[in-house]
Amino acid sequence: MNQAIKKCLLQVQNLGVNIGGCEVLSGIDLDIRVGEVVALVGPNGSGKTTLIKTLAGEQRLDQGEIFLHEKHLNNWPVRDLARSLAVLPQKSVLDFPFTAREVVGLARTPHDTGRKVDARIVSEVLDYLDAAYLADRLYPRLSGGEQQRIQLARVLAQIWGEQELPRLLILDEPSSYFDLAHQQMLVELVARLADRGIAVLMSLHDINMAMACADRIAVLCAGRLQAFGTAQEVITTEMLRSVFAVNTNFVSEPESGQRFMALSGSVRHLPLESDVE
Amino acid sequence: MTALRPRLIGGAKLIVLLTLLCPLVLVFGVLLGPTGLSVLDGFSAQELMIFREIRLPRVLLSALIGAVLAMSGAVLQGLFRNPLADPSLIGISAGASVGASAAILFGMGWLSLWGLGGLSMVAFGAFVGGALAVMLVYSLSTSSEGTSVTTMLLVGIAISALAAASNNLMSLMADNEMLRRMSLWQMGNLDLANWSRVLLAALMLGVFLLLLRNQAASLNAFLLGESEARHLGIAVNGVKRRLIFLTALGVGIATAMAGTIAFVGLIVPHLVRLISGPDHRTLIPASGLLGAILLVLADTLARVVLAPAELPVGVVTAFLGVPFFIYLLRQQRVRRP
Repeated sequence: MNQAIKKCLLQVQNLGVNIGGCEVLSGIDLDIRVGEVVALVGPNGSGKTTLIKTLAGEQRLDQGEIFLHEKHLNNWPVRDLARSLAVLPQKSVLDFPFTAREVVGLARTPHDTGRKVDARIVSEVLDYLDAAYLADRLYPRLSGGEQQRIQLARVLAQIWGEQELPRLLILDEPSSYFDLAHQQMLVELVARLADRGIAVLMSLHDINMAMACADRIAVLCAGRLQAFGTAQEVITTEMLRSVFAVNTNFVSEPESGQRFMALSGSVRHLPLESDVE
Repeated sequence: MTALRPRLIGGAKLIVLLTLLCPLVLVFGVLLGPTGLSVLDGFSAQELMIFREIRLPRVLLSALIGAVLAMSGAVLQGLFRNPLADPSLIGISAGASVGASAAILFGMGWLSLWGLGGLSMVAFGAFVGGALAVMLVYSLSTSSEGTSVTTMLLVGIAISALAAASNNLMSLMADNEMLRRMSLWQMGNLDLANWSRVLLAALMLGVFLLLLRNQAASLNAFLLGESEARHLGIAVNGVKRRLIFLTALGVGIATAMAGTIAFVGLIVPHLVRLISGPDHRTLIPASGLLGAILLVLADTLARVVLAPAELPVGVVTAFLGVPFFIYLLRQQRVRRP
């Protein structure tokens, strides 16, 4: 029993957030275990980004508590927190002519491991993400997908290497600009990170990707946690109809047995031209 | 080819090069002028006087002001996360000049303006005016999405207009002597250089450098974005306050000592970034050195080009800076249509 609690890396209790008098999140209970991959899905405006910002300590919460490794999030010294928790925002703007390698290197700011170790970690991470060939290019000149890969490499480099502290990676829609090969790379990447004991929380639009890579899936709808469990438990035709307003079928990939969702129509009907008139 | 060689030379090399170049430029600036100083024949008494009381303080003041303006520009661009932020373009110099005018107007009665005390008071006024302007521009133009260049420049226009109006109002209230002083350095002029100014500028540069120590890593992280910097363990609000204070201090010093000298803070950091990249650990010292070199050269040009008459150095930097700024604007537009 005690063991199960110890293994809990991030614990969220009854979290609520109001923005401008509006209730954006309420009554959220969530936990992420060491080495676990949790996907956060939900329709537009369901509060995914707000939840991620709150967990990252960027958005003030009006209710509830967040514990990282059994310690209240507010009680973490900033530098220790930066060594344990890395966050990839949805969009980053960087107008200055850093090389990709320098951008990844900025991740080592909270560490004092020394120049040599930092350089080795940066190279390792770039290799890991199939981005070594971008290392000496100027970041502002890269394409959207390339920039996103470099930013992903940056947050990875922040929590890379052996350390005592627990590690959690929070990714806000990490694959939005990725091509198919790199989406697949992301799926394999999070699995390998989990093997290293790094927990991952990521918001995703792609339900199939969530099913492929997450140990558990959290479904947000209108600021509430609709469901939280394994893909098998959570991703059902009923849930998809009520939360996402789509009709779906499930198919299995013959070799791996992996379940996939296929859309078979929208529940909401778009107005016909005659209706608009 | 740029893809393979993003840097002309490394930052450390650039700093060594500029450190070697700087004394040469200082000597050049001292020797060149309407009255030639001949080193080989030995100075006459009159030449010695020109050297000691006019040329040397002027060249030293140019170097100090150039250094502080270029470093303030670099810090400001880091704070705004935008390479187009320049103290004179976004209204900070204008704010500082109002503060300095106010200090002259209201402080004249009880302090002699030419002494160290009077100068410090003008500098303090310039600092307060500059600080208010930075805070205003920052709060209006910067959000989590980054800095809006349009808003930043528009707020700069608004502040400059307000500053011009205030300065006009104050010049109505001023007597002849004050008026002459106010208008002299609103043009951006180094010909009031004397040893007490050099001393004060050097002291304030010392304070500026002391506060700037160890900020390079924070500034680098800051370029990624405010929340990104926070996630990297930077105490963002504290750093921001310090950077605002620093730019106001730097621009305030420069404005109090030499009036509004535009574009040095824009051109110099940009050149350094082109040569050796945007890493603040080398950008700031290299900008300081190159800023000193550039302003000494610009002031030498201002002294000799129409000799025996003199151009205000602000005119020279504006002629160099405006085409440069337009080129940068075009570049930004090409990259992000």
